[in-house]
Amino acid sequence: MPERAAPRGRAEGRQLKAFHFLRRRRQDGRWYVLVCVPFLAAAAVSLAWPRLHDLRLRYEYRSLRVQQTELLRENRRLRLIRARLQSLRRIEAIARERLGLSDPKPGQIIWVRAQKRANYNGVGR
Amino acid sequence: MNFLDPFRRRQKIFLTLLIAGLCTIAVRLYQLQVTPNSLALGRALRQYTKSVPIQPQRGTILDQRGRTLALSVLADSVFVRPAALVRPPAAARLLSKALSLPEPETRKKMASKRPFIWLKRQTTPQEAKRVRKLKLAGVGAVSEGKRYYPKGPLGGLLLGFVGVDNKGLEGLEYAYDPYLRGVPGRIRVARDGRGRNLYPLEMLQQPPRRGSDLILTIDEAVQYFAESALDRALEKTRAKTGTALVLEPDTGRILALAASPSFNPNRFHNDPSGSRGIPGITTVFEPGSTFKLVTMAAYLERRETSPRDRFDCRKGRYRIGGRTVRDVHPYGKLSVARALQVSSNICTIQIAEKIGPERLYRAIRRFGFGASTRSGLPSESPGLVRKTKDWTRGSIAAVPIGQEVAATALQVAMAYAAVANGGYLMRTRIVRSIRDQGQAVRVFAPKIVRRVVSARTAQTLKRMLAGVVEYGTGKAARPRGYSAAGKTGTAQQMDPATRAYSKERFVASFVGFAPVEHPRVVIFVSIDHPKTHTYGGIIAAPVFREIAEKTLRYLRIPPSGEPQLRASGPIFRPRPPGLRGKDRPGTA
Repeated sequence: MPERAAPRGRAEGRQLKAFHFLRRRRQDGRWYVLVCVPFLAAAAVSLAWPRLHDLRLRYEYRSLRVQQTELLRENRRLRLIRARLQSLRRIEAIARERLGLSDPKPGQIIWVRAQKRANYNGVGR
Repeated sequence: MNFLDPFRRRQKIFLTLLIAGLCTIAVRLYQLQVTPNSLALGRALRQYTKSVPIQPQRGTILDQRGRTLALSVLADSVFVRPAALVRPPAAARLLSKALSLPEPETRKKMASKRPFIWLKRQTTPQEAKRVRKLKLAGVGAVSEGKRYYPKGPLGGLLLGFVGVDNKGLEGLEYAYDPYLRGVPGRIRVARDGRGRNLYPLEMLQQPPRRGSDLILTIDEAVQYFAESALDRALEKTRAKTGTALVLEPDTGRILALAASPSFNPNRFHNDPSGSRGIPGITTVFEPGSTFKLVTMAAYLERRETSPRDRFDCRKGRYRIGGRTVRDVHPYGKLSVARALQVSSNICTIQIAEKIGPERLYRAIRRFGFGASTRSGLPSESPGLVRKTKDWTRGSIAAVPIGQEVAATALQVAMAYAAVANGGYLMRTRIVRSIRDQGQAVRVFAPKIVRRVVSARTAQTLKRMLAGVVEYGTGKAARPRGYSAAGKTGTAQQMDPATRAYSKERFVASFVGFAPVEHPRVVIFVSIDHPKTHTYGGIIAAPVFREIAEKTLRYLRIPPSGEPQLRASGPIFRPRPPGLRGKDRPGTA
């Protein structure tokens, strides 16, 4: 880069002073910028990231709640199906038609004296 | 003048302006954020939150062994906001296909000027899935509880049904609605820029409270035995309707309350019979000969009376109070016990004449006739028993044989239960307990209302009723392997056209208990307007036998004469405080 010619006279001297002052300030400012920009970026990220993370967690929470509701709904539906399958009308129809079972006749039932059973506390009933 | 002055001046001006601006912002921020500002707060809340109602889940109805009889399942209800619809005709076509609705009806609904319309409430999961797939603007779905009755028509009339707004409309669903319904809640949720719900912020009023579960005294298996036996009887006799009731005499708990034709509460809109009330509870009938038990009890409660006392049956014709009473077969002199066995009207009237109207009336009321049993069932009829001052000249020939008296099946069954348990009228129970979050909040324990007859009279009546099944009109009622006691009834019905007793319309009934040694069940059966025969001993007694055989076997009651096995649960024996020895039921 070619050397710049030195300004002459009083006005020139003032301009030169101002020029150097501003150059110095600019050089000093660069240093500040180099320090401040990462700092500000870090601050921005540290401020924004938790908020974004919080928002993401909330969306996740919402989808989990939806999933929970769906599972509960499915649980109730399965309970309903189980209750429907346990219908005695249905069981009797299967027993009679598919398995060929019939009501026991009086002689077919043998009554025996049961042993005293113990309940879960170990106390005889 | 320093050459830097212009810069500094400008710098100062700029800084001053900047500080002034920042101060203004700070003051405004302080105003908005710190000082209370209800207007701004309300506006902000409306922008980022919304209040969402939460419907509570309706409680479950279970039988006494915990088997599900009624259950609520979440179902989607599809709504439309007509103003937000894009190409309504195309949307109507797609929606009618997805929801299996007629297209013209859907189109008409969607042309409405109202801001919100329910297109279909409580859809099936498949329908809701199809609607969601369409992703139509202005169409949405809300989850609501839909009531299902997994056992279909089993106990349908007793359970009742629920409307689309989750409100009980009939039967137990109506009677116990305050417990079953639960308490709705409202929640405030945060919403994002697109208006989607994010997460709950706080409970506004209260969290929704799930409805309590109802544990009935009904046993699903016994209910099934009763309903299937009734269905078969109705088919065989081509009768109009039938009612069967099974209860525990020691506790007053109803094990089954069946009616035929039955009703499926899952399809209550299509079945008008669902709103006819609970047969045997809301409807009354003239009990006929089954009522003779009360006359006999009133007679035997007097001093120096015996079932061996003899009365003249006047060869089947007896003129009293301006009318002639007839017996089916002509008899001469009969003992009280034999008169009950052959169901002699004339002998029963003569017994009533001997005890007098006042004493008979008191006995009727003591047995619980003419007053509600307070079973907790909706619209229970108290029946009708006129005071003696309102009796006509012929009433003494009608009331003792169950005419001019209106009673519910439950009242008749409870009167027989009082004899079976040794003389106590029990409080009827249909609900065993009410359970909230797994904890019993109300338990309906067996309760004695009053002593109706002495233990000695109860024991005598038991033997007399056993004689009816053994040697009398109720032979067809005897269950194989078990002893039974009971009474047949054949009541003429009033013909509304002639305002007299019809010679064609009858109610055939049988009520009794088994086994006689230690009665575990009281069973009432009535068949209304049978076409093949008219007598209770032919029509209703076989139904009693079928229900008794199956129920006793199911309850693991060993047949009479077999080694006595211990019952599956503790047996409640009514014993009021202060009563000892002979007064205890079952000790006479």
